[in-house]
Amino acid sequence: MGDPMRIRAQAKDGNVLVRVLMSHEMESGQRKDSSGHKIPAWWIQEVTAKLNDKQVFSCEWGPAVSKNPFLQFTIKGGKAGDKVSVSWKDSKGDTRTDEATVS
Amino acid sequence: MQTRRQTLKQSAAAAALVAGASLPPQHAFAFNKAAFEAKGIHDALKGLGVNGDPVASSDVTLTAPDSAENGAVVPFALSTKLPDVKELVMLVEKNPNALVSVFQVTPEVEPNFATRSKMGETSDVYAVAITKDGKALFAKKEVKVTLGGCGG
Amino acid sequence: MKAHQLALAAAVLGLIATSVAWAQKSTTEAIDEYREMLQDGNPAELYEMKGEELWKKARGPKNASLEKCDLGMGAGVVKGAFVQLPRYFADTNEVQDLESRLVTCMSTLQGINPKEIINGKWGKGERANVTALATWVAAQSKDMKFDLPQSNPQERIAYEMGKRAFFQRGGSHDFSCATCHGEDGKRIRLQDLPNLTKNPGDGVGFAA
Repeated sequence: MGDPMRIRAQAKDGNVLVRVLMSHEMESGQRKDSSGHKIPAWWIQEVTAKLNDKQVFSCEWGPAVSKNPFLQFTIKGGKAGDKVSVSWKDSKGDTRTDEATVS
Repeated sequence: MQTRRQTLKQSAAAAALVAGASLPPQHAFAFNKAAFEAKGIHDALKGLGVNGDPVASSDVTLTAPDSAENGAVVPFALSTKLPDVKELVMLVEKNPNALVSVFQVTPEVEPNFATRSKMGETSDVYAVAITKDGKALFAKKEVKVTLGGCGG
Repeated sequence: MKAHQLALAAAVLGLIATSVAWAQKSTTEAIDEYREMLQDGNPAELYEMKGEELWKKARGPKNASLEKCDLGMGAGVVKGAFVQLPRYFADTNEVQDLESRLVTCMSTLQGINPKEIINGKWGKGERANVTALATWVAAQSKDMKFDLPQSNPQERIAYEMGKRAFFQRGGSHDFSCATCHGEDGKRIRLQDLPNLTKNPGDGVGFAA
């Protein structure tokens, strides 16, 4: 389930600017622990977003995306009061969805 | 002296042989394992269905800092003005696996995405627009890294 | 001939010096630009969110929240508390900093065993919770100036001990804190070093 994301959605010039901060280790699989063993890779693989109930955004990530990933994109159209929901799925199959209202 | 292009071509050929021998089955899920596990830029792009060599284009923009104090967190923005783009993709040449992220360019979003990536060392970073007919157009920039971000 | 050669050498050295100075200037600027790019959507915000939730949530064997915790300005007063810590607390008869005061509150109000926190693994479990709480409490004092109380004798003793420790040279390099943090305008590689001997600080890095 993971910790909550911080989603900011702002209506701007007829579009919606979405900025998300996700809470996730994004372990690259390159780091070693104190006994010298590689810490297994664990990362968010897919992120999607919806405006109201329609999917508008999708991306795939490798483990090179930074820990506690930041993401910014702009949805065409949309206005204050609309609902933006962001979902992620990670390499262990864990998922999380959070929502925000466009301000 | 062998040029970098020749070295890239040779290592790509060798990698393609290995990849071809052990290609995993495609999942129904969107995640493109082959592309994300490819070592160099050429193989990653091939894994994404690109045919031919990528071509530099001023209609693809990569926004990145000149120097990153911390290689674990390097901010990037990719955008393009080109029509008929299927995906906007980010690659770090010298990372253990070059492909970092793949953004789907859908009609509902602006072709403009920003995120943060780990960089193992100073390297060329590429923003690549992949068109619907499999061509790749890119912008690149060298980003200096003072403290490598891959750990160890 | 010799004078001519000397002049040439001097000119070349001059050029090299200028280009080195140029390179240094643009690199520091590049790092500043990099830091600017990370201001929006700073991951610390995730810790702040977690800390706020932990402050308000009923937890521990006593199933209580931390909303009655006294951080020095009265029970539950969080705004401005961070810039008055460390300070003396009568109930523990000690000068405490933010983290140790949070542990006191977690133990007295919530019944959480302090040993579990102190002996816990860095970044995990209750220790990670203290970090999140401290981040949120500190954020409630954003842009405020440090203003530590010195009315209690124990506070004055703690201040004097800290001052001596700051300027005490030791260790393998015979360094003190002041060796790197005692003057304006110092740098190590590409990191600007804040001068920590003044209040308000020089605004570099952590120096408020």
